[in-house]
Amino acid sequence: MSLVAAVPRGIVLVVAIVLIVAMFVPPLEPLREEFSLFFNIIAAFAFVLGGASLIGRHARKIRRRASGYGYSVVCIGAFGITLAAGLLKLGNPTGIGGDVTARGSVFAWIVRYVFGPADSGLFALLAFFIASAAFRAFRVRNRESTIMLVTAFLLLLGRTFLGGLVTSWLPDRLEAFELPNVIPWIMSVPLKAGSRAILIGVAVGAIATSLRIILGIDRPYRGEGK
Amino acid sequence: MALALALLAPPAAASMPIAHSTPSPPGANVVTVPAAVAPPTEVRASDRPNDNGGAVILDWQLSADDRPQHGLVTGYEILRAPAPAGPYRLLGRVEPGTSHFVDIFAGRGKPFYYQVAALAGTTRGPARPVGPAVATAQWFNHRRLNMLAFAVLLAAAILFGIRSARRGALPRLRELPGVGAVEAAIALARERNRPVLFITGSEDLNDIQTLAGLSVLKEVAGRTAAEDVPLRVPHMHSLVMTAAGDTLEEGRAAAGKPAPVDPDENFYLCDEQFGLVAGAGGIMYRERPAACFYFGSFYAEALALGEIGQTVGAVQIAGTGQASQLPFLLATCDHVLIGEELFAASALLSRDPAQLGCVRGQDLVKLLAIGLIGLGCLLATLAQVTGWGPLIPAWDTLRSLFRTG
Repeated sequence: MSLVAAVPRGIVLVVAIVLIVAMFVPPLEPLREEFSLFFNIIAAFAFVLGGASLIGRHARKIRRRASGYGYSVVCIGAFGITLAAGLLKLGNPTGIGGDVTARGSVFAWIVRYVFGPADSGLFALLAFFIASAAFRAFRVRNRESTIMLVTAFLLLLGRTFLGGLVTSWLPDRLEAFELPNVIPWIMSVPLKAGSRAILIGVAVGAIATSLRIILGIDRPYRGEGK
Repeated sequence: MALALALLAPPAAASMPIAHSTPSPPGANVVTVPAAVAPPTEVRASDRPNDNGGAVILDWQLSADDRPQHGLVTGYEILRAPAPAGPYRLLGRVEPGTSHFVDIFAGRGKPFYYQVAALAGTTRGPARPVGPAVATAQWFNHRRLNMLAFAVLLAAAILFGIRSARRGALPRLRELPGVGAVEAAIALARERNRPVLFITGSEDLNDIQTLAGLSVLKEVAGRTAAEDVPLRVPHMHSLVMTAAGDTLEEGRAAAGKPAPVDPDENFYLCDEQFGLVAGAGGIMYRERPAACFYFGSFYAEALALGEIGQTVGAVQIAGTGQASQLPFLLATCDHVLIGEELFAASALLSRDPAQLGCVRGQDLVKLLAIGLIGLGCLLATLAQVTGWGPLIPAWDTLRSLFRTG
């Protein structure tokens, strides 16, 4: 094994062991926060690489006059303006040492009037996406989709005022089958059982994957193939 | 005199913010009136166990005047001093009916004396000092003993599975349609001469699902390189982008097609989830990928990505451990790897004996979990139906095995 491969593997092994031990040894618990801080520092440095990737990709598009390169001009322009507004604290009433998002600053204005509406607009599209996805999902194709359709229909109906009316004619001894009583049962028994089964599987899978990476069995990003 | 002072105290004091088991700054305008209200009894101050030191727990029996209705007590004040005689400093207040307080600012190794006094409006009742209580650090968190036992058991089962697989006893794993469809989707992309889009989720590199997604990316990189299919891997986190660059090179080298990573195939978009949707959605509309793979941790962007993928007619395969996003992925994608299947995907794609053995180890632990859950259900049901006394402690013991803290 080359040194380039051995050093990262050693770091992963040592850090993982320390963090696992810290779970059970209270005096070592502060180390968990310390290592999180290290991760944030590394991520902050990596952000420069991200910015370089973004600029480089769009600059190449502009240089090649690729289709839609005008959007790349807008992207680089917006990136530069926002970066300058944030770094130089343009219009910031609290000065160069103040909070970057202080009210009245250019950066805060960009976040509030440009980024915010664009982000909210995309988020609002989910309402339409969910309608088309539901239409596709609830088409009766097989037994599973039929069960899903019936359950979803009962849940939707049970959450409205009609839910109580539809089954109000049932005699008292069949009260448990009234829709307002069936809905909590669906939510707390079959649904919870299913989601807990998924969660247990995910937890075991996550531990196993961690172990694979710690032991070097699964090496998705170590660069040993170079 | 004291009573007069109490009557002169501002009425606003009654509506002062009340701390809930957390210390609040001193400065309350409270007058101590002996025997105004009955004091809390059996006040105990002790070190908080299983921690790194620095906290003292206070417990007491409620004042005789603390009753749900028509009770005189309007709260309790907790005071602290370095010596029994004082001076006592106010740590915080708790609501009536509360008999517990944690002094999280006790500091390690410092002895302190405490008083818990009942309040009647702005009048503080009598209180006796208790202590000294010293906060100390413990070397082992006994509350997590069960977690340690499960972790050791899980690790042992996984290592056993890996060792067995390396000795040739390869486990037979259920084929996942989603994993099988990956190769078919890449072949389709070659036929249509279209790229493949791969998204590793919206979490950073410290999320295990992102790492699982990178493991799948490694296999996809090898297969797309072998088929000469272009790959597009946009990212929301630059650290993931950096790691994915290595992953792509690793995957191609493993497939016998080593090639450097093109900056136009592995790139950063932005750190916002809907920025990822806009960027990846734009790529989908412009380049019309034949296949879209989503492997990792997803939130609200899952539905948007899946729906855009549907509109461009791409074969979509997803895998996530986010239970809340599974319905959206199931509604929009052709194949979905549910929960743990995400973590088994790279093993099934690579057919690496060690990884397959690891999945076998996982299954052994899950078998144990199923057995314990079944036993728990049986004990709880029998205890309810028969009312037989010994079943209840047995059920409680079983439940305590799964306690976390």
